[in-house]
Amino acid sequence: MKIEIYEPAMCCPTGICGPSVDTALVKLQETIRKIEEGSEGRITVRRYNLSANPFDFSNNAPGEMLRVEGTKALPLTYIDGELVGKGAYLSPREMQKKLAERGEGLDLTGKRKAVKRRGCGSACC
Amino acid sequence: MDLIAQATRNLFFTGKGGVGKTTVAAATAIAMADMGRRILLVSTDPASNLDEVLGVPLSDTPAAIDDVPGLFAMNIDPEAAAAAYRERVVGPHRGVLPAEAIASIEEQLSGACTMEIAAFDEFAKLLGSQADRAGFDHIVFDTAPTGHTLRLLELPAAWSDFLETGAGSVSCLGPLSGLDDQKELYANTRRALADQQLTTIVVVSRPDEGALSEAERTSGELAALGVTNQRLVLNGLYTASDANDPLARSFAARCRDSLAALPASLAALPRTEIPLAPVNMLGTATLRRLFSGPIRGGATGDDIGIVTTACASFEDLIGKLEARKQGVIMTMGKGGVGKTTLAAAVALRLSASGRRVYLTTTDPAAHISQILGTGRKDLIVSRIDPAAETKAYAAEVMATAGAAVDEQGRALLAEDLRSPCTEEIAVFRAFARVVARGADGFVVIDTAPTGHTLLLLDAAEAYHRQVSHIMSAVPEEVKSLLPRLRDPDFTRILLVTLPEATPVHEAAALQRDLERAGIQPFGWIINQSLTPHKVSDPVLASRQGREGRYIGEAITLARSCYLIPWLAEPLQSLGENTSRKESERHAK
Repeated sequence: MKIEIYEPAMCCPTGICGPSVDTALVKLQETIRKIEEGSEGRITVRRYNLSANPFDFSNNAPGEMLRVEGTKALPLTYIDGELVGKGAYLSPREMQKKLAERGEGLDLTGKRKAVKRRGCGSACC
Repeated sequence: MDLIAQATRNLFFTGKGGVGKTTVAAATAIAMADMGRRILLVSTDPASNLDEVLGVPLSDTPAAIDDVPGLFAMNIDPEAAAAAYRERVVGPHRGVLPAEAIASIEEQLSGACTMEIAAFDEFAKLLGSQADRAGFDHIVFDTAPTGHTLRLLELPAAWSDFLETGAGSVSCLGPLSGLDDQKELYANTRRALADQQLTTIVVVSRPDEGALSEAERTSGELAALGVTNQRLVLNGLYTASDANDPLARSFAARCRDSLAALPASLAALPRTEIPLAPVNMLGTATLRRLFSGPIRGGATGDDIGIVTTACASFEDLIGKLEARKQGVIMTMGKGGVGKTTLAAAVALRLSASGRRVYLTTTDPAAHISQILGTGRKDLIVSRIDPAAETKAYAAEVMATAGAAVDEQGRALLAEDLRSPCTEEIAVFRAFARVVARGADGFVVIDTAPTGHTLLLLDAAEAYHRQVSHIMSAVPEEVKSLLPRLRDPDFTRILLVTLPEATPVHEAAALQRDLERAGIQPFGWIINQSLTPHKVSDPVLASRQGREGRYIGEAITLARSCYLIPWLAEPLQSLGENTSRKESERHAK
């Protein structure tokens, strides 16, 4: 399964470079990590930033969306090519629901500590 | 001399603003070219005056200097580098993506981060890659003023760490796509800086206490970064040739005293001494004589009587400033023109009349408290310390945004906060906070040297545009910063200059930039003028004779102009409201 997020022009993915840090962006980063770890590689998540990856917009559906609706349509979220979110990021709860509808039962909202991969990822153990 | 005869491949000139870095760097490059070597002379200062010193217009590609076979020169202008980078990114999408989307990309790529990154990239190309330096025996960098230089030189270390740790989000590297390809380049840059066989840092200083203590700090910080191959150049040494000239005696005494107190770490460095020149060091013919003298001075025939009567005094300035009860007063100008001293003197005088005064510096190189000595009741002195501000900002982010995520999320966030851009943001917010205080008292800000100030104001502009359509919690003082800077009733900007070519031309450029940003300077201060003094010493008389032209230029450019004579103890003389000062002002 492939999740693609097309985001507004940003200097950096966390918003740290802006005048204030956007909590929604920090939260998103965490959600993505939980999806990637929880699905054990079955789900890939890709983020496209308008300022860093403009080609991924102009050559694809998001480019058309931009031409019709303007930048207020961003961020756009697609799951396997299907548009599931427009104008705002999916919350962890919404993302969990969309994935469950597609047969991926992941816990993205629990406070459970994510499994640490550090130390057993490669040749070390 | 060893500086030239045994030069390493890379030479970096550093020191407090106004000590003559560009002059000495250019003279060194010319002397090496005259020995038959091929030299590239590069300025990385956003407000470079290399054009003016060489008397040749320069661009971002090496240009041959006609009078000096083998010498090529260029300016790395961070703003131009950022603009070129921006165009590379958005160019292919014009007409494909809607104009609104293109504008949003450009906006994101116009912040301080992009400028810093784009400039660094140009710099790394010259230092780290074999291809770009092909054909040159030596590269001579006339670096930006000290605080900026240090950050520039620290970056290779910070960035290599970034790229090595790899995984996770490398946030601020985002604007520079394909950065992984640069990994080797940055590693080379880092190695080249620390390699004694390849790189020499030339610490330039004038024989005065402020410049020397700044040189000591720079030298120590670079050594701590592993950049240990250093030399000292003492520029502008002066001995009085006319013992009956009181000003000459005062000049010479100051020079002697500062050399007697030369910091041990500087005294240990190999040293080159350059005497005070009787003229402005402009043009290749004059620069050639810096190391192979003599430089002839003499009268110019300019009428110096007219210009001084067209200028008001420091007392007049204080009178005008005191007419208000609060607001922001900023001293701006090229490094070394006396911004810190004048800001401190203004603050002292305003506080003496019973008003609450905040005195703050954004200059990473300044030590206001060192100049002021002990504090006073109505005078609150602070410094925007980049390291401390960055730490506080990072802690705040961890406490707010960091609280919303789990432990691993916080680790990622902490790593993001190690980005070189965090400091820009933190310093900017601190600056906005200080300006906001002007609503209930006097705020006197001694801003950083010109180039850095421009970056700061540019950041203000970019932020202003950004905050106008971001809904998240932006501090009130950040939102109101630019409107406050633009309000002539709230902010009064004093452009400080010396009666010399480069400082006047840089102040003029700064005024144009401010006006473009919708900010109107209140007036100009011509500082450290010899013109009001009686002078008989030939070197000083020659310098005095060359001031008139530049004072005249300043008068035509300024809305109001204030002239301050050269003073042995400027802060004591200007900061105290006594009649003694009056007599000094009328020394002529």
